[in-house]
Amino acid sequence: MAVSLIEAISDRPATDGGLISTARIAAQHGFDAALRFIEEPKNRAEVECALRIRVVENALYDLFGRGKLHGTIHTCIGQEFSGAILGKYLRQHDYVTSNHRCHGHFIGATGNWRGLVDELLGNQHGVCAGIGSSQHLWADNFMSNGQQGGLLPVAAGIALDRKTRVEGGVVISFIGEGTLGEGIVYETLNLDALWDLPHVIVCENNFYSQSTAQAFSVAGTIAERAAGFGVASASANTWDLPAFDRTLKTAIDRARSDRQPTFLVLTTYRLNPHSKGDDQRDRKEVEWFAARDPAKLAIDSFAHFAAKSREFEEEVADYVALAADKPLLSPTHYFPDQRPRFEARAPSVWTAVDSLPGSDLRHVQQLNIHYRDHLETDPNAYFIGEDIADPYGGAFKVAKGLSTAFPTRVRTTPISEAAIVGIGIGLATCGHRSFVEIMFGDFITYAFDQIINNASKFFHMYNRRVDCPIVIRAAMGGRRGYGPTHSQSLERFLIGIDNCCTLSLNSLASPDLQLKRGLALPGPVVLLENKIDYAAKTYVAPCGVTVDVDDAAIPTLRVRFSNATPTVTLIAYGGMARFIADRLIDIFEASDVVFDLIVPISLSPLNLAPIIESVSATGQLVTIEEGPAFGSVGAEIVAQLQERDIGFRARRVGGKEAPIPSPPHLETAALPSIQDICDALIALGKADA
Amino acid sequence: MSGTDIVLERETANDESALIVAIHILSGSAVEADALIFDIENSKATQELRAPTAGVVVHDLQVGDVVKFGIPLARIMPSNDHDDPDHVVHALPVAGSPLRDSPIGENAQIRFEDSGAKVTAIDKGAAVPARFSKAATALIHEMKLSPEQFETGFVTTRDVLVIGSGGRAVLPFAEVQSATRRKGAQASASTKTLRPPGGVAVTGRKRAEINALGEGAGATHLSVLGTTLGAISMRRPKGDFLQDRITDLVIYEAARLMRKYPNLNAHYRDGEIFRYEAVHAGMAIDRGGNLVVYGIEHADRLDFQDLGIGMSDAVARYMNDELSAWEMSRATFTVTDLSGGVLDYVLPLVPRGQSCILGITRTEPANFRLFAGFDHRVTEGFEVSAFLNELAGRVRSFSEREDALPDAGLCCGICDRSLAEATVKGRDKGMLKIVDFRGRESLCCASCWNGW
Repeated sequence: MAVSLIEAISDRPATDGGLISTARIAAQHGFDAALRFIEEPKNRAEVECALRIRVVENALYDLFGRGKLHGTIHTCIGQEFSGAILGKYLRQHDYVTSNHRCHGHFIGATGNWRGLVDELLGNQHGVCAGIGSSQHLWADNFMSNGQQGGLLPVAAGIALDRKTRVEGGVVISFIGEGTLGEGIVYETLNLDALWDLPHVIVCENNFYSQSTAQAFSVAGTIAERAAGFGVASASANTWDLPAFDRTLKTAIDRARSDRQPTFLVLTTYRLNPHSKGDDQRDRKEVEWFAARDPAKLAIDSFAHFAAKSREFEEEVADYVALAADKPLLSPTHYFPDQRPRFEARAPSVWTAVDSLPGSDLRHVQQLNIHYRDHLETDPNAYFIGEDIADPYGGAFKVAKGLSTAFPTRVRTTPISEAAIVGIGIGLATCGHRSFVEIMFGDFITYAFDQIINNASKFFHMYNRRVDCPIVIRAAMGGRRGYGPTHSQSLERFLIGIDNCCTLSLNSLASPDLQLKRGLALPGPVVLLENKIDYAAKTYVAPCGVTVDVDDAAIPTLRVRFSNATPTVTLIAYGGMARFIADRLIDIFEASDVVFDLIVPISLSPLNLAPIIESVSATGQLVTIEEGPAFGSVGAEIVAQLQERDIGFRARRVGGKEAPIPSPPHLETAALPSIQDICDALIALGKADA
Repeated sequence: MSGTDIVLERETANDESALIVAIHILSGSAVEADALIFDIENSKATQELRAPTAGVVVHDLQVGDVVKFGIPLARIMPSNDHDDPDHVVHALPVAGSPLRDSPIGENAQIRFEDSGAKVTAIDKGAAVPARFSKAATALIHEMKLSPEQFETGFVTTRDVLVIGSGGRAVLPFAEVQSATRRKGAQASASTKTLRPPGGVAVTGRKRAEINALGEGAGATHLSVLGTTLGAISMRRPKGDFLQDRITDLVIYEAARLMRKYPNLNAHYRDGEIFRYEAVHAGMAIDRGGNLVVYGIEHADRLDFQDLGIGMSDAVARYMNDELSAWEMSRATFTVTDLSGGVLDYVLPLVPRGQSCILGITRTEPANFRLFAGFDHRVTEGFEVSAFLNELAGRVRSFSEREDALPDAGLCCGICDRSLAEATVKGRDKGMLKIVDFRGRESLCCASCWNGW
């Protein structure tokens, strides 16, 4: 069934009355203006740019149809002037972000149509060496990604960078009106307004989300959405080109001089399908708009534009013909990531922790000093999070005093985990080490799109040219009675993220020692702190027990009984490590086992060397963590050791597979106990006999 | 009990309780007035609890405890220690406190300073007195050892059994006549283990043999001999739970023979042979995937009834997972019975701390074979051959073959021993016929008549 605007509107007259007239009136009324714009000699460059986009898009669409392009494609035929006029107002430090339908914006902003064609043909001369193809483009000051709205907070972060730079600069982001269904749009608008960011969001309204008519996807009016946040909104269309030109200029000027955001609704119409073969629209409707296509108007009415169009066609055809001989990216170049490499060597060099400077301060105070040192030594570092401003200083007081000491770089934020991580990513891509605090680690789930589809992917996807040194700090762990959504340990969801380090701190040693090099990594880091550890002072080992640290870039700690031979290797991290260390003697007495407690700080990547060293000697392994054992860090350790063919037997101890309840007796039962650990040790012992 | 209570006052309307996040002064310590004792955290803030008066703090809290509002957390007792110039007190251990694991008193002390109490290790490098796991403590008691024998370190049952050093030090060894004993005894001295007395250095000839075997093609000190027992279809005495098996017969006779062949009830370690004083027969039990050797204590002194009871009890406790580490490690030789299936041959491997293991197989329903695996460093084929033949003869004597045994059916009414056994062994002189006051007749062997 063809779902057209007309039908959609007749189905829902109450909510969508006027929609079709918006598009039709804009096209009808603007068509004369389009002619005026095209015939104006000073606009020749923009018209030619639009024609270039049209020719390239037609060529790509044709290649796609003939199966010459791998993957998918979203052409912007009918919407070309959006990108073509953009180029006119961009300056050196301006930045453009775009979405899946980004070819026109890319050509308008960079002019590099050859790089685009190569990218889609998948060869090494593509702007990103052919890695991401159509939706994932990067060039100096241009970035597109395939998720809806996901780049908006990144753009806001870049806008924050541009706002504080001497040379200035503005950020222009393109989204489609279908993206208005994503909450991240509103989180970003809120922050744009609160922080007066030089950010222009152009919402291209082509009336369809893929094949779904707007009547089914957008309620209310689009422009009023921005108005609700106090963000100036403007509207234009791709027929009345002089008016669009003026409106865009006004919006960019406003960002450049007044440091204010603008939300520009650009009514337009896509003449091609969303991709290909997914067009359910009424043909008559498409034809009506095709007859009022400004690019066609230029070619039909002006011989020099028609000639230019033919010239472009030949140029593009010749260029495509050359593509067959171009080199392809080598897998060995593509796959290596930015995470630290741990040398597979043995033995590790261990140093006793108590011979290093310790501290009488609580863990939270030590962390506070650690981050303060970072902010002092790195004038580019930012530290943002919810509720972190003084005098409150954050829910766990890690940020106490920081906003007073560094008022411009330490910012308290609205409750918008996804947007603030996105802003951190934007800052990080501009060379700022950015710390983003997630108050309760449970809510890092809101930011998963930002971490997985942006932070972790930029490096590979943009052909190793974009670093994203963001540090996302989150407080994990239970035993505080905070209940199901404030007590979890989500490490098992985090360790599976590519090119992203997951570090887990503990209070067995100072943060300085644990993070000696951990925060100087080029890629994203999820840094987990523990709620119970915050209140603790650095661990003091009982007599006859030593805490050692190895010499790896991100160290591993080891708690060892002196003058005894360990027969089992225990592995625990985060708050669980301290929980065990505090009860070391109890476990020894009850289980009749002398063990090594290995405490990794880097959960991903794992440093296997100290683990192998211990397990090779003991032959028995118990992993313990607060989160469930299914698909956990422990599971990964056991699997990796298995692949090394070390003879060993293992047990995993984890939390129960149920939400962590609040009442003490239930919470205690939900999390690993000393009894659980002893049971695992005894079970291993029995299997050994 | 007099004293001043410290009560936690409610700070917020939302909380019923708060969390102890730090204990600055251990229970039993002297405090000045206003000294910081606890850090307590509720959902909104951290609270400090200070001593209202000077005295001695008494509490039973540990970090991580959740405490209710309005209930006394601790009490300050009037101090009697004001004449102590340093205010050094030997604190009572506080259950679960992060500091309590320091063996306060010998290696650490609590010292009062202006900033509060501190636990100070007197000398980190000094030897730490031994600490025992609960199971190790129980085992030490069971084995009648003394904790003082373990100088330092963390002692588990493994250490008590001296498994780590490969020795069997805790079992007493036979009196040694040779002047060559204890040669090189310091070679494997361990801080944790007992050095066994009673070792006999191997002779030069034996040492040469050991070296030659170690460098031979097989590079092993294990050897094995076997013999056929033949059909033992109608055995005597009847085994209640063993039915047609002969495990108990082999254990019964082998244990007794060990007195005659002490090298097979011994073990080799660092150039010395240690002959066990006691004979604890090991019975291998395996119901799939969990092989243990249960040590039947003083098997050479048990009669058939006690041996049978001991064996069936061990199997039952094995099934219930109740065997202690000591029971599973005290055996001085081992018998492994594989006659459940049809096998021609077994190469029984000598367990650590032993020099001999006997294997039983069955080639057809009632045709048994007996194998002896032995440590060539301790004994040799000649000795083991003699042992095996003697053992086979004794076990065969239990067979009730009507064609071969004219006295079939005649057996001791007390121990069930057959007349054949009583005669073959050469110890007993037949049986006595006993008539009770009702006129009923029964037989009694000489052993039962004389007592064991």
